[in-house]
Amino acid sequence: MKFSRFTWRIIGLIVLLGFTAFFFVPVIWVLLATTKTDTQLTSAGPFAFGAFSHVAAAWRALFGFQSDAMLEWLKNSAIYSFGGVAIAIVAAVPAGYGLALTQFIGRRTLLVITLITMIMPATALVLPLFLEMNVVSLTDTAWSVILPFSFFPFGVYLCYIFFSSTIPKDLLAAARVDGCNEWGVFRYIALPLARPVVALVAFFAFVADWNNYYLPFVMLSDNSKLPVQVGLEYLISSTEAFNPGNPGAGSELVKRPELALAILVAIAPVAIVFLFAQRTLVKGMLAGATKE
Amino acid sequence: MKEKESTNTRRRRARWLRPMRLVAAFACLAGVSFTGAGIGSLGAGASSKPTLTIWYDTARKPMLQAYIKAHPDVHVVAVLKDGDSNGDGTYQSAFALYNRVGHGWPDVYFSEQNNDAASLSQPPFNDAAVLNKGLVSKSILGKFAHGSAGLCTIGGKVYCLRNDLAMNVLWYNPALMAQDGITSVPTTWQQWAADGAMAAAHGDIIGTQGDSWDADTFYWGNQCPLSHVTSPGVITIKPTSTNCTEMASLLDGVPRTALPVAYMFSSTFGSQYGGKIVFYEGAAWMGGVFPGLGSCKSTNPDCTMAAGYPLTWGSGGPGVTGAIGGGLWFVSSHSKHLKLATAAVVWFATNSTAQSKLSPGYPAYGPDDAAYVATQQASGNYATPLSGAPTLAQAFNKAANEIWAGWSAVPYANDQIWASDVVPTLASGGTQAAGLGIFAGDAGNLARSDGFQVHS
Amino acid sequence: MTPSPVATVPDERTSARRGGRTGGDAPIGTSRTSGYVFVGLYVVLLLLFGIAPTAYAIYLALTKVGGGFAWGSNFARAYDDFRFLPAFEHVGEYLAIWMIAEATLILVLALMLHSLARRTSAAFRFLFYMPGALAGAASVLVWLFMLDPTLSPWHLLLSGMGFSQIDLVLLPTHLPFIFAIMAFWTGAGGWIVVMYGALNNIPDELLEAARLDGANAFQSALRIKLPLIKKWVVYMLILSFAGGTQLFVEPQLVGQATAGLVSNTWSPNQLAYYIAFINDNFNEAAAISVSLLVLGLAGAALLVWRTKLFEIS
Repeated sequence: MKFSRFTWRIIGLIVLLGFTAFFFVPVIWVLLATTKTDTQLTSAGPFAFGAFSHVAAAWRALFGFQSDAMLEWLKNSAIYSFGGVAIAIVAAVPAGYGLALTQFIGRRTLLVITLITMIMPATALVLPLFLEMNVVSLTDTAWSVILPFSFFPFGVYLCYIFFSSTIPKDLLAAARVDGCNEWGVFRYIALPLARPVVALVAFFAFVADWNNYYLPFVMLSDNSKLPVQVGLEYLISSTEAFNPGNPGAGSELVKRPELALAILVAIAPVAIVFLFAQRTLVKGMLAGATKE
Repeated sequence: MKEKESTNTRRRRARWLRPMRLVAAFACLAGVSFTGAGIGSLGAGASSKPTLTIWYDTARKPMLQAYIKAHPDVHVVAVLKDGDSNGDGTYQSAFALYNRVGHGWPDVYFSEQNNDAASLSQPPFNDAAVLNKGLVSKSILGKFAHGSAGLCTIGGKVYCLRNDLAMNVLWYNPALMAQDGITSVPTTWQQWAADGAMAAAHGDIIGTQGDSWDADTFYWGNQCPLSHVTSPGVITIKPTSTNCTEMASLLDGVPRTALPVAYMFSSTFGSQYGGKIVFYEGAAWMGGVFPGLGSCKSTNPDCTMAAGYPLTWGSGGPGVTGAIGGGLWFVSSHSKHLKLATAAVVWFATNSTAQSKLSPGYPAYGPDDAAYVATQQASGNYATPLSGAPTLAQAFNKAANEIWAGWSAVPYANDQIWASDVVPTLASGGTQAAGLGIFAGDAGNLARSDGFQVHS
Repeated sequence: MTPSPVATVPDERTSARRGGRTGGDAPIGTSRTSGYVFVGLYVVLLLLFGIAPTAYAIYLALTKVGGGFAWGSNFARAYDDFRFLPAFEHVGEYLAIWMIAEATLILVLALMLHSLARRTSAAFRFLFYMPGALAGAASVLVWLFMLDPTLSPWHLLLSGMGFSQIDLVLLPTHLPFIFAIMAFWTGAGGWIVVMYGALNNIPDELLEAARLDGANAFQSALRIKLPLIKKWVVYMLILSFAGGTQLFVEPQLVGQATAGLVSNTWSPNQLAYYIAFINDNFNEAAAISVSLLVLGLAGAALLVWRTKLFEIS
């Protein structure tokens, strides 16, 4: 197809804008939904702006739900996520390095096993995980969530792929020839170069932990320990529009605009982290690291 | 080389410590913050008082708070759950895990999922405690509406107390009736169906057929055996029975505009049908819902409905009706305070203030009915009945005692099957008659995989 | 084999690789034990939260409810279940749509972003990624609003297709497509970020050289960029296939929020959950899970073998 470069550019722009609309219009809708009342959602248009007072009302209703449960849930989510990410990074980055750039018996087996455990459906792991936590009496505690979170094979694979395809081998060889031991190579050569993948792994770990519903749902029964994802479930079941068999559910004032606000509050931390992490996330930085 | 190493060593240690310190910090935070009282405990904690763990849902919160206030000698640990709604299996999932580790069950729990009575009382869960063999007195049990204990009773043992009844009555809108030229409230299904033509001519509806509870209204209400446990482990699912087929043809004969395939709690329903419902055979708790639909404002006389007696099949037909929902209170057989837990459950189900003012549904406990109806009438959510038609109290009372006992609780969710298998067929233009067959097929399969012998 | 972007050290490594698992001659300065130290903490976590639970699940699949070996009977019962085959049909359709969208659209978008100026592409990446921040309940909620013709910003499109209410949107034949759209909406952003990062690690000199050689954007993309990010692409395909076969969250939550319009045993993973927790039969459920695992592994093995993902190049 011989279109001019200009035509291709236009097509490209249309495609990009089309996808932007696909991805982002729902988010805009949610933002606008918080400014409307429940009836306005269907009566006014989807892009109509309601009033800021409605947002304030929705905020009050949401945070008043179950005596400030929302704040508690957000705090819990933060603790579980940061805890999980911290341990996951400490484990995954060296592991990815070791798998990619050192030799030892069982290296390939480890890779295979990691892949297997990643592919195992989570529903099957619920019971054994629960039993494990029960044996050490950790069920219904923060550790029952943080510890499984810190097992992050996806991150190990990301690091493995990064270290095996990005770090210039002659750089490492040079360092080794200089007398650096393996730890030194990791600490002074690989790690500084690996900042983007560390940021990437930390980011994905954070998002996975923040958004994880299933594990906390199973492990935690005390309401004060729930993270925001599980709390969102209870909000849904308290919304008459989504749970009609529960008459009187609407008495807790959770209507759809409050749900929209809850969605935004639930994702705000991830959005903020992503904004800040963007800079370090995707820098290419091998320019100048090797002489060829 | 040596100095370099020492600085390196120090830096190395510092770098390793940073994440470790983070982890330690979170350990501290995690330990400290979870000993504080959150919404988890709604009562004052003292170790000498007995502790009751109660699982509730948001609609029961007022009752729970009243209970705590009335019982300062009990330490209540209140845990918000979702009432096991929509057949999620929240309780089953929890109990499956607790049964394997030997701890974690609540003492008291509320469920709005009717089949929990069948599922949680029998193997493999075996949790619900038997209430009629010594825990709850016969006199109290006897005061519940006749037939209300049906769902809770399996093999002669009562496993739960009914919180409220959701028996079906015929809701009618006097103002719209006048507008549409319908002079009297129908008392039979046939009259109701015939009124459909008049209603349709004015753009009004006499009901819907796209909800998950269709079977509870139309088929349970006509004694159609689609979920009839005749003896333990044996169920009859017979869509070919005349009670079923006659109702299906009746429904299929009503113009679709008068009986649309719509779902009452969908977002379209309010704006499309809010002020257009002439009749609706539906649960007692729906009375408070109609005025709030769509463009209806609360206490708008055009949207308030009055309750008539449930429809019968033919004018000499048996007085039976179906029911949509209604909550159940359970005591766990694993509870360490069986008597206290039972007393709590009895309190919830029978206490006059709780049932008449704090509960949104019609009390299953007879003596509380009058007070409940009085509260409802005072709310202004109901229209004044036409002359000659029953009062709210009369309609509710009659219906409450007419719930057909032949629709049994089963471990699987009938309404889920109806919603995912029959409603889509109806929505694409299929008939009720076809829907019956589809429902029976899937329900039969589910029953068999749950170990039932299925008779058709 | 396409040339690697950087000069490789001649040849201790290649001989080491051919030596297989024992490693042959280790590269200069690498002690065998240092490898173990690096993976140490991870291996502990892997044992506790990966291997032990997986082994237990496999054990469950092979034993009877009361104990004692059951060999294939759990599997037989599961395969006989009237919901089993339909569930796999559903997921099969879903996978077809999902994998194609993933393999093509994500790469196309990442490549397009890569050709833009840094700030512009950062802006687009943020917009594409935002939905990925929503997971589980939140994204399903958003889509329930999006699919409802009375509220949705896409209502023109929906009513144009004849859907006046959400019941008609969620008809059984549409479900695989709808879930694929939802999964794409939440998942694509993350992978676009990863692919973009991978593309950014390609040295500029290479791309310059190609451009000077007369390669246009398409040729540069097909012959240089894609082969260099092959490992990442393979990783994405493996996870997408496995993840796709294990679809759970979207059908489960849509079902819950619509009082059952979507069956809670629509996908095989949902069926496993149902059998485990509602029928309290963890053994039969484990059989289904193990079947899903084998399926995912087969896909992974094929991809790993064909692309030699595990080699140290």
